[in-house]
Amino acid sequence: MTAPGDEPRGEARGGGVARGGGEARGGGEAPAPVRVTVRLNGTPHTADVEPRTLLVDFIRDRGLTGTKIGCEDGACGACTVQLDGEPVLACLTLAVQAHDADVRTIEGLDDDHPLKAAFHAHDAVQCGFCTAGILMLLDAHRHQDPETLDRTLRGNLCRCTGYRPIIDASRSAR
Amino acid sequence: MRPVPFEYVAARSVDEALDALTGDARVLAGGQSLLPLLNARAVRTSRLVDVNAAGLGLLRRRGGVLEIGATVRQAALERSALVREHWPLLAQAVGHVGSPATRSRGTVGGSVAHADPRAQLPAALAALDARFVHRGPLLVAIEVAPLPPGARTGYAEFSRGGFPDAGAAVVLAPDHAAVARLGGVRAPQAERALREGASAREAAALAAEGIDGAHRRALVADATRRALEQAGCA
Repeated sequence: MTAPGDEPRGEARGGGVARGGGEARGGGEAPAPVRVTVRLNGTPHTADVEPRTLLVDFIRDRGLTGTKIGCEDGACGACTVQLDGEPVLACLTLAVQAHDADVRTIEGLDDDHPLKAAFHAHDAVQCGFCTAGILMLLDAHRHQDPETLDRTLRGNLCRCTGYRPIIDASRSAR
Repeated sequence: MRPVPFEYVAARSVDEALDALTGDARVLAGGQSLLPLLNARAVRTSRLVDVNAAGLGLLRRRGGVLEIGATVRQAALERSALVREHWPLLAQAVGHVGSPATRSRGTVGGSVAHADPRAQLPAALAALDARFVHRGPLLVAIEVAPLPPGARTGYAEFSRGGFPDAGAAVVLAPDHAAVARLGGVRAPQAERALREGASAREAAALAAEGIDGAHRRALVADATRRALEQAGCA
């Protein structure tokens, strides 16, 4: 990593992120960092990151620790955030791929969001580790047929509730 | 874990991508199969070539043929009214792929290029006789011809969450039968029998013939029978 204030050595083309780490080959030297700007819940955050930096680490390193890291291979859904409105797994997205994009995390969900109230009312939260990911997924799929909710939730594991309260809460919030 | 360090190249065109694809470089499309492998360090690469901005994201019908650019998201396929109306098999199969969040990023081309033998889309595309268009090592598009007149389609699988254990995709029309199972393997004996009026159960047994293990054979036969019944076969 370069010291703060150093310019990234990556070659930028067309104002976007084009290339990073060009001098990493062969010598065991760390790849050059790439300058990335991500709008997190509406606020732009710029940082020089290694190309391998996962979006979930970029988010959590900015102090937004509501997004959880579970399996790192796409099985658990705990890292679900919204990238330009779509639910994505922040463990399976590189920070450089979110350059110039809008990322919404659990911290960006209003306190009076109907899903939050419904999760309280239906006791759909126990340990809470899965909750942020599930809320970000369900918020992005608000207009979906409630009958297919169990399939929608297939990629988000909850080891506490048995899913029933989560599905009931989701239905009641629609 | 986290990936080993790599160089990142965001290709703005197919030419740029091809220039960058040297040595052990890997193509990054949706990343929903590659990132887990990189995170686990099961795959190590010194360069990732991101093709998401290479102009391969178009989903359209041209001259009756469906063109799926290599970076068309699985979610885009799932939501496309054009696909649902004219190539319903793709809509039926894509709903079973991964989860909503992986389908947001995962691409149709990536499923094909990664070619996991349990993946749904290669089976559906095999049943549709899809063409895979390459430039050098890079898959740039998938082309699917119109279905025969009066065609009906079906996709069924047996899954315990994650990738399915067995699955089958079928296209049935007068004088036409296509049956493909996971791995994109066609079942010519079953197809011949269907054209000659075989029942779903008979054809499904033929489609599963030669598969090792009674349990797996039963799962494939069952998935094939259900897919055929979806497509209107008695």
